[in-house]
Amino acid sequence: MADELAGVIWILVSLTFSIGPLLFSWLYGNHYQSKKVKQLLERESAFLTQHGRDNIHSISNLIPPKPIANCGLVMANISVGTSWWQTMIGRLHGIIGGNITMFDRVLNYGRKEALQRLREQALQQGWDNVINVRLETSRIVSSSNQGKSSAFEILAYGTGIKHQ
Amino acid sequence: MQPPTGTENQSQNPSQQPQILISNTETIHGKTITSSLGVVTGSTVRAKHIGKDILAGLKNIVGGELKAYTELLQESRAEAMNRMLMDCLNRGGNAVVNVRFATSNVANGASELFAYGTAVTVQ
Repeated sequence: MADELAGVIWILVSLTFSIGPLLFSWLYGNHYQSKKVKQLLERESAFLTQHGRDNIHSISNLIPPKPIANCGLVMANISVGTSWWQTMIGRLHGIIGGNITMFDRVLNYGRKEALQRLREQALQQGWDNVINVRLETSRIVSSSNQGKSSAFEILAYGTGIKHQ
Repeated sequence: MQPPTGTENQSQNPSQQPQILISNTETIHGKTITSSLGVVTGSTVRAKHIGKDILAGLKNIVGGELKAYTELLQESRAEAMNRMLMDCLNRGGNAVVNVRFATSNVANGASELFAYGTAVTVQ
């Protein structure tokens, strides 16, 4: 009897450690990420309403052109990862093909956040506008966590300009 | 501007950066370019401390931002840029235009960050 009980406990414990993180990832991960996306959208709209216009541009000359006093490089980065649950579902989804919404969502969040950081950085450093904004994405491979998750780094950079 | 004489002068201090104008457009706005000195590059390969790597892996259960990596890559990119600026100083330039960044994975847990641009002299 005691042996059976120990066996059951052992199975429960091992299940908790194997499936537990995945369950946690599913239950809490989605909530956490939605919260972050919501916060970002709020920050973005607050910035735009406060300043009335966007201060980052991917073109290299403003339209209409304004005289420029000085310039300098501005950059902002973020690294984002998909949760274990998202990675698993994403892989399963990859077998069927089509739009893998799980990865979409994380990368979209990362890009928006990087651009928002660039806006804030430019404002903080005293630039009026940022021109020639470029976005770059790369994959980060972790040494201790291979296969379980994928992480990406997104870098946004551009030239900050100050008008005369 | 005095070009650095040797490796001991190649400090990693980012405060040296404001001496050189950097831009990722073709020109330095508000100045005129007098001569082009060719391509300057700077690169660095970094890996994360194993403990922090494991912590980042745990954070990855829920997904979202991985602050440890964000900081690491920021520092490394600053160093790559610093090396590029040193290259520019060695050539006697005082500005770098058309700066581009590239990132690649060289091994598990290690990233190479690369910055390049054209060194120029401006007035």
